[in-house]
Order: sequence, then C-alpha cells, then structure tokens
Amino acid sequence: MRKTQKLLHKVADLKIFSPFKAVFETIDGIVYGTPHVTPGAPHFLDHIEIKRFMIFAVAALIPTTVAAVYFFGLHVLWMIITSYVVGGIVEVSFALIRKREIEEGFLVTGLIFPLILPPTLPLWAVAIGSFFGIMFGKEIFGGTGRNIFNPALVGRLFITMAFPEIMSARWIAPFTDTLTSATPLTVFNGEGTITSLRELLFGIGLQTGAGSMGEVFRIGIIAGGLFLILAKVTDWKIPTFYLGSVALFSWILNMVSPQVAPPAFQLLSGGLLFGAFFMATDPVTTPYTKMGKVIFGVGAGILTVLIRGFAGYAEGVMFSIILMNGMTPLIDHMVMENKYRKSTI
Amino acid sequence: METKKKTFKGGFVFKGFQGYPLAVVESIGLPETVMYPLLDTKSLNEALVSKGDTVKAGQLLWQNDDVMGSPVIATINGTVKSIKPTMWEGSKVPVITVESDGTEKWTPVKGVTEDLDSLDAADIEETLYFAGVASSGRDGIPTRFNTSPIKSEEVQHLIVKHCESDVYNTDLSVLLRENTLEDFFDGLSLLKKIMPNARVYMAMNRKNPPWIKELSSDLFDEMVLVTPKYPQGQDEILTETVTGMKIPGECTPANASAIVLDVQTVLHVYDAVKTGKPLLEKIITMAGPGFSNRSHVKVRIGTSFDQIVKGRTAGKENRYIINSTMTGSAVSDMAKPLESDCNILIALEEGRVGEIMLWTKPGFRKHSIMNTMANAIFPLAKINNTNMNGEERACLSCGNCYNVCPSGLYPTQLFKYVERDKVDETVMRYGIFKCIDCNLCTYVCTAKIPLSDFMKEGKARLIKDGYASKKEILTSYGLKETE
Ligand code: SF4
Ligand code: SF4
Repeated sequence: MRKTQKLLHKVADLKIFSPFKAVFETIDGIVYGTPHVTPGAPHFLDHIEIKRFMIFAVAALIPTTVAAVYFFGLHVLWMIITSYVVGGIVEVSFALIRKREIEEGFLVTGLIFPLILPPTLPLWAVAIGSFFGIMFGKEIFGGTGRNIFNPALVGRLFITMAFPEIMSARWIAPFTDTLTSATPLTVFNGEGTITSLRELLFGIGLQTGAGSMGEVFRIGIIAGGLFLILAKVTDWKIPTFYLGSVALFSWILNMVSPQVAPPAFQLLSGGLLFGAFFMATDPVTTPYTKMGKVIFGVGAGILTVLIRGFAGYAEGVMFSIILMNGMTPLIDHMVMENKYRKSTI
Repeated sequence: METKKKTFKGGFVFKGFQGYPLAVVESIGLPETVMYPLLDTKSLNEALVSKGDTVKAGQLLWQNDDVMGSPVIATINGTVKSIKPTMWEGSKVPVITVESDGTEKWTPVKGVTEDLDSLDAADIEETLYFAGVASSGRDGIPTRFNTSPIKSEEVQHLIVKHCESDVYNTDLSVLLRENTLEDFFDGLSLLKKIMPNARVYMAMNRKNPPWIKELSSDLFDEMVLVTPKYPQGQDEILTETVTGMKIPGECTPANASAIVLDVQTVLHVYDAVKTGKPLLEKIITMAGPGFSNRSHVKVRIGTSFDQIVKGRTAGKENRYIINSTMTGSAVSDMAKPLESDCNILIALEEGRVGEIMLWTKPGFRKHSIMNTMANAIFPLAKINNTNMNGEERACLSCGNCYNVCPSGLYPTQLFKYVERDKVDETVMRYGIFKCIDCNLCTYVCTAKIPLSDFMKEGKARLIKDGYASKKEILTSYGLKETE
C-alpha cells in the first residue's frame, strides 16, 4: 500500500471522522483504485467501470457547456457550480445516512441540469431545482440506478411549476409553454417563420432567444452524441428512433396541417437534439430491452411532434421524455412478457 | 464434406492480451514424484497396489466399472511411496504417491495392433478404456465400460473442436506437429468406428485458413467454420451452433446425443490404439503474463503444479488458473497434481494494488468492451491481472450484459429478481435455465456486479424449491435423459 494511502486510512480511522466513513472510502476509491481481486471465475474483469462511464458522459457535454459559457457569459459557469455543489451535498448526505458509497451519477446530472435551464436564471432557483431534482428525482427512489424519472428533468419541472414567473419572465413569448421556451419554435408557432437552419445549427447570429442554454450549439450536441454512441457508452437505438420518428411524423403531419413545422426545422430547433442525445439515452430511466428502446424512441418522437404542433406548447421534448420515463417500466414489462409468452422454463 | 459458416448471437472477442504462448513444445523432464487422487472412492483398500510396490507407467492403480470414468493408471515408472487419505476439495479421498525411478519407458496397453483396419469397435473401446483415454472431454468417449452417460450407438453428433475462442488457447500447429495430420485422421476413423451412427463435424476458427484447408477431409460430414468469439468453445454453445439444439445450463451435450472432443483427445485415441501408449502425458499450454517464459510443455499427468511452473514465475504473486480465465478454477494448492482434464494453465498476477486515478488515464494498455480506452484506437498488448478494476455499484442499465449474453438473456433483470428474493416462475419463464454459466456478463458489467453468481444461485434455488426438476428442463428443451 502506498504511504499517502496509509495516511488517508489513518485519518479515516480517527474517531471524529467515523460518521464520514463513506466519504473517505469514496476518496480512497477515486484516487487509489480498488485493492480487491476477483473472488473466482471470471478471474479478470473488463476495465469499464462507473467512474469512467460517467466521465465519458461529462466529456461529451463539454462542447455544449463551453458554447453556453461563450454565448451567455460567466453567469452560466456559476449556475453549473451551484448545481454541482448542491447536488454534491445532497448526494453525500444520503450516502452518509445510508452508510454507502457516494454514487457517481450526480456528476452527469449536475451538469445536464443547468444546461436545460434558461441562461439567466438566478442562482437560488438553480439551487432549489437541483436540490429538488436530486432529492425527489433520485434519492427517494434509492439512488442512481433505481430512479424512474430523469432527475434533471424532475428538477426542471419543479422550478417551472413553482416559479413560473422567473422561468417565463425573460424568455417566454405568449404561446410558449414553460418547459423549454424554445424561441425559434415560438416564432414559428406564432408567425410561421422558419429561422435559417444554419443559424440553428451553430447558434451564432441567432436573432431570436434561446430556450435553454444547452440547446443552442447544435453542432456540439451532435458531436457529443455521436462520440458517446461511437464509444458505445450510449445505445444508438433511442436517438435514432427518436429523431427518425420526429422527422417522419412531422413530415406526414406537415402535409396534412401546416400548423406542424416541417421535419428539418423540427429536428434542429428547440431542445430536441439535446434531449435525444443526452436525456432520452439516460440508461437508468429508459427501457433496457432492445425492443423497448425502439418503442421509447418512437413514442417520444410522436409525443414531441404532437405537443409541439397541437398542444399550444412550443416545446414538447422535455414533456415527452418525462412521460416516456414514466412508461418505461411498463414498456419493459410488456416487451419481456411478449418475448417469453410461450416459454415456461 | 460440406463447409458451413455458423455462429451465435452475442459473445465477445478476446484479442490482443499480454502473455500469449510461443508455438513450441518444451519438455520439462520427468517429475520426481507424482500423485493420483482416487476421487471416486473412499476406501483405501480399493487401490490395486500397496506401499512399496514397484509400478510401471501404464499399470492400473484403481478400477471400478460401476463408477463412470476410466481407471486410474500410473504415468511413470517407480515405487509407491504412500497411499493415504488426504483432504481433496472438501472430502477425504485416498491419494497414491509414486516416486520416479528416472526411466522414461512405458508398458503398452494390451492388444495393440499395427493394422488399424482389422480392429473392430469392441477392441478399440477396450484399448481406450485401459489406456485411460475414454474419460476425456465433458461427457467422455462412450464405450461399453461405462465411460460416458450415453451409449456408443446413441451418439448422433460427434463434434471435434478447435475454436480458439477463449483468452488463451492451445496452438493447433503445436498439437499437429507433435503428431502428424495423418495420425489425427486415423484417430478420427477409430472414433467413427466406435460411434457408427454419428454425423461427424469439425468445428474450426474461421480465421485459421491454412488449417481449415489441411483439415478438410471426407472423414468429416461437415466442416463448421465458427467465429472465434467467447464462449464459442464452450460445449453447450458449440453444440447449439453446430446442431441447432439448445443445451440449457444444467445439461450437457450428451443430452442432445452429442459428444464434443478436442483435437488433443483425438490424437490420444490414435496413440493409444496404434502404439499402445496409455494417457501418460499431455501437452499443456502455459500462458498468461504471470509466466516469465510461455510455451507449450509436455507433462506427465500427476505431476504437481509446483514442478510444472518451476523457473517460470519470475517471483510474482500469481494466480494459476486451469483451462480458462473465464470459467476455470484457480489452483488452490500448488502441491496438487495435474489432472487429465487440464489443457491450459494460465498465470495471472494478483492485482492487489489499485492504480492511482485510473479513471482519468487514457488506457493505452487497458481493455474495455466499450470504446472508452485509448486501446480501442491504439491496440497495444492489453494488461490483465486479477484486480476488480472498480467498485461494485447499483446497476445502471448500461446494456453490456445483455448485449453479450450468448443465451440471449437479460442478466440485469434476472439478477434483480434473484437479489430481491423473487425466485419463482417469472425468472424461470425469462429463461434463467438457458444460462450456461459462461460468466461473460460478470466480465463486462460496468457496475461490477457478480451477475453470473446470481444466475447460479437462482437456478439452484429454483430446483431446490421444486419449481423445476432436471427432467422437466430436459423435456421442455426436447432433450433426452441420460444416466
Ligand atoms: S452490465 Fe451491469 S451495469 Fe450494465 S446493465 Fe448489466 S448489470 Fe447493469
Ligand atoms: S447470463 Fe451471464 S453467465 Fe449466463 S449465459 Fe448469459 S452471459 Fe453467460
């Protein structure tokens, strides 16, 4: 064992630190790796582990984050820091109460959450949303891996409902729902104008405002999403079927009723890309069955187009994802029952 | 002969690891002492020799036709030093220790003939039995001496395998250099005589074209070219790939009237019948980064592992694993002798020290099923030791386990049922008995959950609680009962 590690263990063994055992164990694991060896066959294991898994998800969000800071200023950075600090405190307190290791899931949630907020939200609102999202979106279910709803979306939903005025004050045009005040979409819903696709893609020179700060730099989102798929950290099925079904259904509906925006605009506006690549792919809150992933993607796609087109809301991504999150256990159950309907043993 | 490409869904290709062996055979000389545990008996009196007796290589030490398997034979010339009960994997069995006299000669099995064509099945069976060859492989070679759960004429599929799907594999060229290709074909004809009703298959790694050509012969009814992904070499999956019959975890190929043998066994058959050489020695593949010098070695059965690895360990703290890093067991005591079912001996270093800030490093020499290591782009030889490489966490539904499961199961879901004590019809319906204990799900799990252990527990509990019996499993998969 290394000298510094021994020192860490000595400090951790001091009486006054005994309630913080989980914290020390986590630090030990993060810094020194695990000293445990496999108990039997298989005698060696793959090197993928949860910290690397999470760090990849965070890395894929870097372009989006940097762009958000660039577009909207340093306040964004403070929002991210607030989200991490509050999320970290909730996570650590629960780890201490449960006497278990600190789960790494908040590394990703803590970054996704500010990215789906309007860029000028006051820090206290970020703090409340983060607290609520991690607490009621995740911890009361038993922590990462056991939650039903995406914690970032739960937090977002909560502040939208609790403080509609601050969520809407700066960003929401008359037609917009509070979930994401995706302004080019609002403009379309109001006047039928389509913002140029190039503007949408790069987020530069965008005349209308942004809904949430993470959705603006779409090239970065696509790059990050593809990076995750190529690294096999996320499965390709959900984003493909989600975006595919949005394109297909908006194409069909657009022919029937011009109230629905055309496919290319649908794909590139609002929080769709961010949602499809980073929120609908959260492995915990989406189906684990292969067929279930397809159903989830298609279902979320239809819901998004319908909400955007007819519900009087400009943005349907977050709503459709959270609705489908709620359906996930049912979808999985149905897929499994269908797959094994004939078998007995 | 037909040639067909076949494979299965799922699985994982292991390649580019450290510690592959050289394709040479070395001799490590005769051991000073050898040991033979009489695993199927409790009584000391059943041994056919007593202390102080002189024994010859090939001489019977124990025989009992009521117990399935071959007799135990001496593998060196020398004197019996002791016969005493010893603790052996949890129970006390008699162990015979023989001290070598340093001579290499052996006594041929009776009834040897040069003219292979004149032999009939009964002669061959007898020779194989007394040579100790008949119990090779998972279900043995069926003879009238009770060496296999099925009878010779019941065998419908005889599968000879060389799939190279595990992390470390025996080199085919090494085996066929020690014996010739003709010997292999002769051995095969002998086996065909014993199992006249069998369709004969050769299952080969399809990335091994020179040998595919060499081994193409009309002695085979079908040449099956398989993808070298783990666990293709495991008998259950191989039988399914080749014959289309699913073998659930609690059953063996014999239940599907199939016998799976490896190339080395076919060569042993040839040796025994043609030259009368009993199963005295095996070619063992010594692989893994724990050995300083890796090759194939010829070892007498009964030699202790200590004597086998001598001079190759480079002072490392190693774990020695028999046959497979994925499913094999570790050698618990290095004083124990080599048994005839061992083909590969792997040494992995015990990884008792974690690596500092591993999760921030690019991982040029690290393997991962996801493309999260620099190794995916720069394939340098990958390091493997026994470290867990991470802490156990709650399942995050990453999907690795069900993407690789060769039986098409959802280990993540089955594990949750077993963990929550809900072991009932549902887990059974979700196919838990299809699990063949390949351990691949545990290997790839991001959350480091020992999934396959839960599978084993679930299956054992279902049987214990009376939800299913072995007979019901067999019927529901359309398989036959065996002894
Ligand atoms: S591999 Fe492990 S973490 Fe991933 S889905 Fe399976 S059980 Fe869950
Ligand atoms: S459940 Fe796991 S051990 Fe069983 S067959 Fe599937 S991968 Fe192998």
